Amino acid sequence: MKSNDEKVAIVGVGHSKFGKRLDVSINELGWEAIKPALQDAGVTQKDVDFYSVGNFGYWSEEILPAVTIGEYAGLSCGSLKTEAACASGSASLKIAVDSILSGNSEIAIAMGIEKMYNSPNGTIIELIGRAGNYFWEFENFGMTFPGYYALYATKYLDAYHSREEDLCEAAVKAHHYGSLNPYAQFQKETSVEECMKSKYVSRPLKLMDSSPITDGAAAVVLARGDVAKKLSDTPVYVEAQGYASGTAYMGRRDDYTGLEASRRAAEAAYRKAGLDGAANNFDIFEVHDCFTIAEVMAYEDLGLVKKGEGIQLLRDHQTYRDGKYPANLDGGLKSKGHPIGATGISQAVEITKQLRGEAEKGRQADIRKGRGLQHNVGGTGHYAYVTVYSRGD
Amino acid sequence: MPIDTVLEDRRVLDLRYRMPISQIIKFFEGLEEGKVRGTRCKECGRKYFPPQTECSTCMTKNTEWFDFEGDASLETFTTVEVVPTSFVNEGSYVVAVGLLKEGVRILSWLNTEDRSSIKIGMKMKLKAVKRKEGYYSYEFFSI
Repeated sequence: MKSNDEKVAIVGVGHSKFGKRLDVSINELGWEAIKPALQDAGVTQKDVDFYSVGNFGYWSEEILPAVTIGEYAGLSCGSLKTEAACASGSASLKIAVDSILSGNSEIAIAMGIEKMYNSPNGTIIELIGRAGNYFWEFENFGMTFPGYYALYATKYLDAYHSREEDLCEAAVKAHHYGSLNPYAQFQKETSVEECMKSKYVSRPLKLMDSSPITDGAAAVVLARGDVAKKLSDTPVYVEAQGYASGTAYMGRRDDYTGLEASRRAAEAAYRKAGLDGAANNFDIFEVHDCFTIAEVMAYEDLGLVKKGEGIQLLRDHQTYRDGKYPANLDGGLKSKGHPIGATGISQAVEITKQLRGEAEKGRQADIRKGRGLQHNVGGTGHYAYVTVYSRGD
Repeated sequence: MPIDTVLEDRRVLDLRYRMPISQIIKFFEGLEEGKVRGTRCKECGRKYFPPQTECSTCMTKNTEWFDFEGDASLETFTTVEVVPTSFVNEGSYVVAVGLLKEGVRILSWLNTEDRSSIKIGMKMKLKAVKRKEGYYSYEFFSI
C-alpha cells in the first residue's frame, strides 16, 4: 500500500470550449483552462511548483507556448512543453506527475493546448500527414493522417468481415454524447445514414469517421497525496501510467488491425496498478477515437474484448453509458474535438468529472468501482499512454 | 456568430529541409539503376527497410546492401482522396503496404488499371520508377 506522499491526485480541472476558436489567442485559450483549474483546486499561481504544456504546434505562431501561456497566466515556476503527437497531453501529465513523485514538487499543473485554426486547412492536412515517417512515407507518397488510419480500417474490415456502416456506429455514439457536452465542438446527433453519405477522405474512411480540426485547451492541478487530501474532498488519483512507443514506419508494424504500442502500454498500466486487466475494473473509459476505426481497435488493444470483437461491442451498444464498458461519454475526439496536445488532458478532466459524479445530465456513468481508464495514442501508433485513475475510496 | 478578427501574418516561412543521405546513397543510386534495395546485417541477418547502414542490435557497421526481387503481396491499402497541399497535382492516389518475398514490408503507391479490383493478398511488383518531375522513386504495380 502506498502512503499518501507516494501518491498524486488531481485536485482541480479546467476545460475550454473546443471548436474553431479564432476569438482567442493561444495564451487566452490557455488561460481559459488554467483559471478554472486553479479555482477548482482552491490554489493560486504561487502554490504551483511546476507546470507542463502538451502541444504539437507548427500551425500556430508561438514556438514556446509553455512560457507565453505561463506569462499570461501568471505562472513563473519551472515549465516545459511536451510533444508526443496526439498523446502530448498524456506526456504532459506524466512529466507533472513525475515532478511530484520525485519530490521536486508538491503541486503541479499539467495542461495541453492546440491552436490549429491559426493556419489554413491545407497547411494542417500537410502538417499532420508529415507526422508519420516524413522521409519514407510523406516525401514521396503524400500520406495523410486519415490515410494511415484508413490502412487499418481496410485491413480490419476485411479480416473481421465488417462493414463501413459498423464503423459509423462509433460516430453515432460519439455525436450522441457530444450533443450532451457543452464543451464539445459538435453538439448534434448524427445517424449511420448521414455518416455513410459523407465524402471519402481516405477510403474506406469518410469525413464522418474522422475527428475534426480543433482549437482547445485543458488543464489539471495535481498535488501530492497528503496535500491533495487537504485541498480536496474528492481527489482523483493518478494510480498508474503505462507507456510504449511503436515504430514510425508503417512497414515495421506487424499487424494492421490494432496498435501494438497500445497493447504494451495497457499491460504496463494494469501491472503497475495491480489490476488483472480492463474488463472488470473500470466504470468509465476514455479511448483515443481520432477515427472510428481507432475506437474499435482501442477496445481490443485494451483487452475489453478479443481481437475482431470490438465491432460487436459497438453493434450491441455496450460502450454507451448503460452498457458494460461506458466509453467516451464526452463525445470523444470525434465529436468533442481533437486539439492534438490538449486531448490527453481533456480525457483526464473528463475521467475526473465522471469519478466525482459531476458530468452533465445524460452522460454521467454509474460509478461503482471508482476507477477510470484513459487511452491516448500519438501518431499512428507511434506513442501510446494508458492511465489508470481512481477515487481512492 | 460574430465575425472573428485575425491579424494576417506579414511574415512568410518557406520550409524546405535539407535531408542528409550520405549513409544511404546506395539506395538512391540503386533507384537510378532500376533496383530497390534494403540493408542486411551480416552478423545477425536482420533486414532493414528503411535501410540503415549500422545494425542497432549488433552495434556494428557490418551490413550489406541487397536488391529486392520485387515480388510482393498486398497487406492493406487506401485511396487518399483528400491530399496534402503539396500533392494537389496528383489527384487521388492509392497507398499500399506490401509484404516483399524477402520478408520486409514497404509502404508505397500502388499503380493499377482498375482500382475496384484491388484486394488484400493480391500479388504486386515493386519497381523503381522515374517520376514525372524527373526524380526517382519506387512504386507497386498490380500484376
